[in-house]
Amino acid sequence: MKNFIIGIGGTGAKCLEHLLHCCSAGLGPKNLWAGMVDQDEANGNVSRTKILLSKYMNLRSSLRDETGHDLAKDSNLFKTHITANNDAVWLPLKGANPTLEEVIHYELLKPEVKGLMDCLYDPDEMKQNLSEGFRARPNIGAAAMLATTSNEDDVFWSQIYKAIDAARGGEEVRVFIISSIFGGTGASGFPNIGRRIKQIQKEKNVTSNFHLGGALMLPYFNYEVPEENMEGELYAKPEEFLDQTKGALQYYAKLFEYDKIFDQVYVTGWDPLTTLPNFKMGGNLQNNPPLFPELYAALGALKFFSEDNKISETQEIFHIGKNESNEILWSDIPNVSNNLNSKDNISNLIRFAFSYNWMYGPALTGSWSKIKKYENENWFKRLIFKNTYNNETKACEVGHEQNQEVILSMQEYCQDVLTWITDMQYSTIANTDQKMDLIVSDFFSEFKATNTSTRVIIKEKLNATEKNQFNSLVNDSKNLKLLNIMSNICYKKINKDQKGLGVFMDILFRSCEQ
Amino acid sequence: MVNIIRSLILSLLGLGSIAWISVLLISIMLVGPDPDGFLTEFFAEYIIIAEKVDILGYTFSEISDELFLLVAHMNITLLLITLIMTLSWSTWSHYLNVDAPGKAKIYFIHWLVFTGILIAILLAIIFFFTQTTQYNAADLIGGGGYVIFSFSALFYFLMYYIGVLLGTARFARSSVLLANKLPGGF
Repeated sequence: MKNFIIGIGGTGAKCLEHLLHCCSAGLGPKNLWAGMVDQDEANGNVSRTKILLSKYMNLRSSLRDETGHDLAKDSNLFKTHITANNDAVWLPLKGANPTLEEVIHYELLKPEVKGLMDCLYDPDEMKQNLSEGFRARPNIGAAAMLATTSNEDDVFWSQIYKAIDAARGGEEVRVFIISSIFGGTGASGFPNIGRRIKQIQKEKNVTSNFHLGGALMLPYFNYEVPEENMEGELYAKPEEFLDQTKGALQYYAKLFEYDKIFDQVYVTGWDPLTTLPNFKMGGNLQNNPPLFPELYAALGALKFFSEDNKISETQEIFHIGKNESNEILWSDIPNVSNNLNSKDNISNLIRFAFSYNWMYGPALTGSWSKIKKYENENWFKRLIFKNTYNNETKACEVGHEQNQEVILSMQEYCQDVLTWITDMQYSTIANTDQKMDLIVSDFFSEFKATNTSTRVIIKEKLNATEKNQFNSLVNDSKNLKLLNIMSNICYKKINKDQKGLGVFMDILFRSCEQ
Repeated sequence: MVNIIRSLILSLLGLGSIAWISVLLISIMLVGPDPDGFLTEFFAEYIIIAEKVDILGYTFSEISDELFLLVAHMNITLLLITLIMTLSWSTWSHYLNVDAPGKAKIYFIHWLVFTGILIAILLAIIFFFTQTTQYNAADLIGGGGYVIFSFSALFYFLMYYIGVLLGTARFARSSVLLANKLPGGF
């Protein structure tokens, strides 16, 4: 089965971030192609996901190499083989400062068409610089998308064509689109890209094996717009989100009534809305935090890709909500399938990230002269020494550059996981009455809501008291201590297919299960 | 729990590797050794003060049963204590707070103290049996008492050491002398 996911706009990119972490926890399908669509190429949310995607792919390829480090097939860590184009982001409009006027060649239009365009768009919208997105103007985005989505030679769209060709060849193909229903890029991209994909499917006469799913994010956050310097600016106005949503839902209701574009649609929203402290119109400064509702969209996508998910002939629309109290609990996180428990896998990843980042990663970092003090310890002998020993040089090569690169990359990824979950926990409930205690993070991190670039600072080192709080890191009933992790890594059975540092990484990951 | 049971089994195997000698000795002592055998001859020549036996008007055969009983009881006590202490360490090692790389070494001191306590108990037991008034035969033990004293202490310490060497939790092996030299998969 081939799976494709497309995150449209800033929200789509943020949902992909959640999805990537879920895939590293073993909740994803076997393979997945990931792409993003955003006119605002420099957008902070998109850049963050792009970097994470690249880290995931690099780390996975380092740890799933049969000739080097191999986690082996059965390992849940980085289970999903994710691929992407060299540039994972598709820009609907190319060029330095594109405007709608240029895209539709306004000056060359016949007078009657010009008149029609004048009715649909006001002069400001026509001349608006679109290099930072469609600024909550789906009417602009729709025109721009429709003008550029049909190019088969485009690297991004060629993937969709290939996917449909694969379905024609008899392979099961699933494509999933995530975006917000409000805003600009997402709102215009979701229906238009969806319809375009369906159109290509019809053109190619593919009637089976191809399924299209989507997640629509209803309003779940807003922000306070500063009064100064906003005169004449086009930007997403939070007070318009609900009206936009209402209009969009009416549109989708009609669309879905007459045309089955999506096989499954997952709809998510949030009440009360999370208030983001920093308003940025776009660009690299728009670096919004990961929020809990986006995790629902990501899990919806993973459910769609699950082999247990039997897609029916009729269009299905799913919606999800948390429990009615103001407290967000682990039990509010739905499972991907009967066999994949989201809570177990995510909490496992968090524990792994903690123990790797502060306990084992630092022990394995540096030259052999620094690391060798552990050479007589059982975990080191079993999992590291034996698997990084070079028979030719008669030396343990864990301190060599290529191994250190993997060790440091994993540490960096673990910090990303801890930052993600901490940021999500703090930011989702900020300025609301809600409570969210999925993990206890205050002992290892500092949160500064107003600092857009680094809201969460993960402590470099922890003292003994802080490390002892590991057993209460995840708010579940497991009470797993660092001692248990140490014990587990010394006794867990090594899979015979595992090689190199893959042995240690997988055993540590499995040791974080109870 | 599985790991603890595994440790206990390894510990018992380690103990068993030389404990069988002790069990055999105890059995022979309880049954009574062959009057013309090596053990009887050894006790008669090296353990008992022959002059004192003569002065008191006994023959060796009259006091040998009580002497053998003393040795049997002492060995049973030493074996039990060694067994309990070895299995206790093997179990306790799983609860040592070795939660980070390099931390097991800290618990070497714990092991030293624990081992010191065992040695003290072993010496006290041997001392008690060889100097006791409970057994009349104890009064007749002469210079051979030092042989019993040192050999028993060494023998049961060795038994304990092999037991903890094999039975200590894998992650806590650096706390036991030379245990971290064992292969990683063992």
